Amino acid sequence: MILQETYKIFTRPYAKIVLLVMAVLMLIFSAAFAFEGQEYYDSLLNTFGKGVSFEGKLLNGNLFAFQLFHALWLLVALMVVFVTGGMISEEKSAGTLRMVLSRKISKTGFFTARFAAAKVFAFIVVVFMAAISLGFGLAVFGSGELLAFDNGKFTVLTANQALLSFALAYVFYFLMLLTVISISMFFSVLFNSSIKAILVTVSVIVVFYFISTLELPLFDGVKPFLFTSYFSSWAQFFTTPVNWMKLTFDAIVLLVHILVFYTASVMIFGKQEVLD
Amino acid sequence: MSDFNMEIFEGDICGIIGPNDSGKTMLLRAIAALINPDKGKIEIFGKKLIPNRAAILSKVGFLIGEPVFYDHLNLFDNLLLFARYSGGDKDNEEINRTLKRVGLYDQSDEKVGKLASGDRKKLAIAMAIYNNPPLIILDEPFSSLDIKSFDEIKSLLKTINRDQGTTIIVATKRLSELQGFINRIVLMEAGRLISEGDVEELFGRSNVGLVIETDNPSKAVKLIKESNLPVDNVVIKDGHVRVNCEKKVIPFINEYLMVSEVQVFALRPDDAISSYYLTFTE
Repeated sequence: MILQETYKIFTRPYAKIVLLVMAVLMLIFSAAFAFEGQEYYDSLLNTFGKGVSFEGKLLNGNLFAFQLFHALWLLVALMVVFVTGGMISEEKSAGTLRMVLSRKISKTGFFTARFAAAKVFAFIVVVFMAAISLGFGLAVFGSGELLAFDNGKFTVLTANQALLSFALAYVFYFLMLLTVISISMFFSVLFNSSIKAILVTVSVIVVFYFISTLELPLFDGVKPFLFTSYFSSWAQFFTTPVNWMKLTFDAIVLLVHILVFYTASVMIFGKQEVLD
Repeated sequence: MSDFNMEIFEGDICGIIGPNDSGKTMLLRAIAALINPDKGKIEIFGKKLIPNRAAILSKVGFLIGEPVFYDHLNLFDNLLLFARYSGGDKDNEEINRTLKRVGLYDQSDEKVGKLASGDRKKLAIAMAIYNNPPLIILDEPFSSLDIKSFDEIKSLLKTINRDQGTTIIVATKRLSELQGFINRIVLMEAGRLISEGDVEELFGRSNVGLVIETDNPSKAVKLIKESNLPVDNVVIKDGHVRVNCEKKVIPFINEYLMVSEVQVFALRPDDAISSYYLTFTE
């Protein structure tokens, strides 16, 4: 069933478009990185003071992958919603849900199979992201130490440390994508229109993420309750020392969100009558 | 829907007949467990539907409402998906055989979105008969079929019923589609069952529908009803008298009306079910 639902995802154009857009963005970024990267990073290093210098090859595949990941992670998450936001609502509006549910499969079984297929899609997106950022970066720009900039600080990681950080960051990013998917599928159950489900999901993520990133004390009390506050935690894998306690907590928060939205979706979907 | 109680027996071809909004599709949706009745129970194969939903529905072929498919996939893939949702494995041979039975094998590689409405209906029927389920439930299966396809599908369903003992339930608003096809009938109107029974029992005596064109339909009806002629379901429809009777009674009706000074312009056959149905809906 999961294979079948995954096949259905890839027979639609949206999934291919998401991967194609990612590839195009990577090409645009790689052109900028190759032609103006050195100048940009030199000026960036200068902001830390005249005495800061970097031994070795600054422009390498690790830096390319890190910067591309930074540039794409939220955009890709929002693009994933275009695929997963219609996973139930599209079946409802097209009427295919009626055909499917008049068969042996139960509503819970169908939703779970679709959810699992969305997970497979998210996994493919993360692997594709790794391939076009790290794989392409290392192949074209070579390996080297990673100078990771984040929030005005930089951390230097050896090539091996960088690889491990990327691996862990991609795993966390996968978890973050699953949270996005569970929210989008929740709205997909609530609405009969895919456009509504996608728009509401994107709006919720954008508004919550905006509040999460605002450096205003007014929202400090709210931020811990917004799932978007934990979305960019993958970046912590590129700091030393890694705050494992915080990362574990952040991962648990996301897991709880996935579980809550999945359960709510199954319950609501189970009670919905299948009409035209 | 309310006050609804009906039984259909193994091997029956049952026609559920009623106008638009009579509740036919709602009834079929309830049988397919797509909607939950507020009260009452549905039993299929002698088992309650709700606790045995998966086991029961795996043995029922459905066509409910307008046929819907994954339009971006071809006919073969649609049937394959359908087979998987039914709990079956990939069986290319059975898929091709089913497509052949409904006359769509040559189009199996075509995208469903490009199919004409009649072919979409045929594909929906292919899904309903796929893997030879013991019960097939079809909602308006003949609408949008051309005359040739209508005859082919009707003949296919009769063959399936005869050769495999498959029970078939057909809901329609067009009585003419069921002429000579069903052996059990359920009449519905405004969400209620108005009559049900065995066609032979109901029409055993009145197995012919007759339309009588006269100069005075009201008088003709009054006379026929008061007579001792063995007729049923005497009504006026579209300005003509309609009755159900045996063939051999027709000359006596003609003679009786003429003797009673009612001019008979024409006598023509109609199906018995139509006249029977009209007695409830007029």
